[in-house]
Amino acid sequence: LCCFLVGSAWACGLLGWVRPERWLPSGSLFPLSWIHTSTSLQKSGYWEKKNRIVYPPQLPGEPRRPAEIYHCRREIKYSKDKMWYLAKLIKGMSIDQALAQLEFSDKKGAKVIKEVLLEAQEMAVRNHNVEFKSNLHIAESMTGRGRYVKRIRYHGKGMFGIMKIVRCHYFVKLVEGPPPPPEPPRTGFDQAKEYVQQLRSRTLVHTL
Amino acid sequence: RVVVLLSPLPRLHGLLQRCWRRLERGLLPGFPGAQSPPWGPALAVQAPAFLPEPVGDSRGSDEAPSLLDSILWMAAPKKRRTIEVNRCRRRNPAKLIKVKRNIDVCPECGNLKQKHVLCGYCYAKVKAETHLIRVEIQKREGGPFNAPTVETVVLYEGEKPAEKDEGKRIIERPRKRPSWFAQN
Repeated sequence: LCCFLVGSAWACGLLGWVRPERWLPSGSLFPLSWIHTSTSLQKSGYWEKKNRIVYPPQLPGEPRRPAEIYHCRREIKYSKDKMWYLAKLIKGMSIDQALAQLEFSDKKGAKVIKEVLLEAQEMAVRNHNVEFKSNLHIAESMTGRGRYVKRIRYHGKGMFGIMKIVRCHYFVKLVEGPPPPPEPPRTGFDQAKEYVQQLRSRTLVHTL
Repeated sequence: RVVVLLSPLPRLHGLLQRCWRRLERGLLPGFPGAQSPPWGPALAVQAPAFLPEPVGDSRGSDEAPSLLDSILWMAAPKKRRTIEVNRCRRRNPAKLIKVKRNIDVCPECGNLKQKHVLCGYCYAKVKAETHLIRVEIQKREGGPFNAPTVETVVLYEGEKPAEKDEGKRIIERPRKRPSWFAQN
């Protein structure tokens, strides 16, 4: 398809018709900043870049902004659906409680998430100026789909199936401070109250 | 009697009457004293020997239905399960992992342990020391099936065998006695 580009592998994959070197008039110098090579092995992701934002120093009157630490692990050999159950378990817990729950969980992903949390805790204390390593809670914990690979699975009688080797990513955001109190479950009374409120707030439209 | 017409020829009239009688006997088989045989076997005898599907119902249900028939009654999903329905099933509280409430702190080492299970760290500690004692025993015995008939006592640095340890085998370990290994 697009074998004319020597140094830019990404253009072949993403937009074959985009040819930045064709946009320049002939005879001009070729700026190297047009092309960049990014190997598919270590693409810097969105979540890793979130740690780089730096806020200006806070004024004396402002409420204290709690420290946020983003950490993730990519291409874990586990299913994203099975990992989701563990991520849902530790959402909103304090980091100590989360580590305790993961230590005694029998799942394969529990070990991986525990390592990720310990790494993130270490990063928080070292780089992000967090005073107490126990004073962290898990604000967000999510899973994402990694790169799948298709392989043949041999059955009897010469039959075969195509199986997917699944991998997942795991993302976690730690925030300094005690965990927020769990919100009370929505009762029928609350739902009824909201419904009545909705009915009461109706107005006439397109009228005088 | 239905036949009213009287043909002028007497032979034709007699033939017609005989044909009519035969028909009547065939239509009413319950007629007492029927000499003619019933219709069924008579026709079957005249038919060819092999029949593809003569009387399908009378053969009974002892034969298993073929694959083409069984496809009709096999269970199969009618519609694709939507992602909303799938999510309701996968995320209902019965399928979520429950929070464990039986985790405590080990009073010896301070690591976490489950209430009904030994502390993992302490168990690993004891296992390592036991392994070293067993290595010493193996060196003393020098092979399998050489276990002595007397008891074994483990002594650490600076300890002497007591009076009650007279005839027992003594294993020495070149280290200080660990705090969790009580000496009796």
